[in-house]
Amino acid sequence: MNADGSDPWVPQPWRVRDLRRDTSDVFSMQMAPLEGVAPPFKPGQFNMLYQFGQGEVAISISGHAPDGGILHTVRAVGAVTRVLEQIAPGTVLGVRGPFGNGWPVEELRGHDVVIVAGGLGLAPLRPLIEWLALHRADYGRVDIIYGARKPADLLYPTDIARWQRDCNIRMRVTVDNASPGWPGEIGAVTHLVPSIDLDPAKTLAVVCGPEVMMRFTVLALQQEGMEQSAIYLSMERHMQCAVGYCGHCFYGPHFICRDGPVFRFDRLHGGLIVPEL
Amino acid sequence: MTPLEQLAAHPFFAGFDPALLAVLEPCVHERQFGKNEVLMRQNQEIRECHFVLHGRIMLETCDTRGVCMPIQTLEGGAVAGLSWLVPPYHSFFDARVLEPVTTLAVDCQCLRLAMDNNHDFGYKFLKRAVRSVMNRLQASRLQLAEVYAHPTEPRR
Repeated sequence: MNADGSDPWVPQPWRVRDLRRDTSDVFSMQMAPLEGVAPPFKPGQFNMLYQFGQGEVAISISGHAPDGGILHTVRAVGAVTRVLEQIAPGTVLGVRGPFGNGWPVEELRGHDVVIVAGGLGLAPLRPLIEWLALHRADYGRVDIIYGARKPADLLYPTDIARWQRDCNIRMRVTVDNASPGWPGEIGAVTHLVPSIDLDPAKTLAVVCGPEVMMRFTVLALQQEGMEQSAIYLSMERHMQCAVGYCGHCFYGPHFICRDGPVFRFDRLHGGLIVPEL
Repeated sequence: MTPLEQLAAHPFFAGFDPALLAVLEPCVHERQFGKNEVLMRQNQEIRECHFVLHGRIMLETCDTRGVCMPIQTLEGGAVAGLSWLVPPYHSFFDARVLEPVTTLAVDCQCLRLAMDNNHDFGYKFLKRAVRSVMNRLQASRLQLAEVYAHPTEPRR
């Protein structure tokens, strides 16, 4: 049973109100249920989006949209997402969710927070950053490191500017490749970690991005003195049922969909290094 | 704070034995660079290794027309000019100031002499330098790997 009492197996009809292209292969959809309002969600949770006749795909929730809707940011990379990329506003999709545990907003309270995002990894972190901005006094220093391949691949530029300007959040943006004149940093996210000058005794870190990037980021955070138990990751595996029955998203003893997608690193058996886990 | 005390507080030297570090006293002094100044130029001898305190530096490689390609940015806590370590002690890149920079500049000849004369210092210093080079190498590999792209199918 979902939090709103609905059956988690049955997709509810939602209308795509707006579809905006963010980068060459990433787009954001504002969606809302045909009836009622979108169910509440926790930062870091995901929905299953069903394009009727095509298939279903797990997509992180990227935030609230106007008029009670929800924002999903999607990379067009597979069969379903490539079809979603082509739909017009007004299209009705099936939606199940929200699913998963979400980011540990309560555990983060009272701590300095370091957020490291790579590529599309900023999308599931966006609701967490908005939460921190909204409850800013409850948290210590907030540092964000965000990396992308090139400036044109950066997501949410308006939000990034607002977080820095209005929310007392220190934001560092870095790209792998840039043309002369790029005002930000150049290099992998890992090379910015030492510059944060974090205090390991009072800092918790959250990391989201491709698994290789997360593995090296964890190493960089550990070099700065952070314990495994102070680092949270959002894991990605192929999710199908989203409620811990089908087994497609097994990761060691965990179902990513039900027990995750967010894990404290010391509880993540295999620690990102065990092959075929 | 003396330059040596500042050097001891630089992340590169975190936990370094102060008695050993003292051999660098005659080698180190504070330097400041304004925007667009160049700390070192490609193919020219590196006379000073810079332990960056504040500011931002761009490493870039330039063609003979002066058209430059940005490679990486460095900032407080970083080390610029690691090529002092191996002959011919030439820089491979230009290091240009993006935002005013304060560094602790260590004279490279003086540093090499200190390492030759005090092997205990030299060994411990070299371990730090290798770690710094290793971190830079891994970060460069990640840059090359397009690590933010969506992963392809797992290897079977």
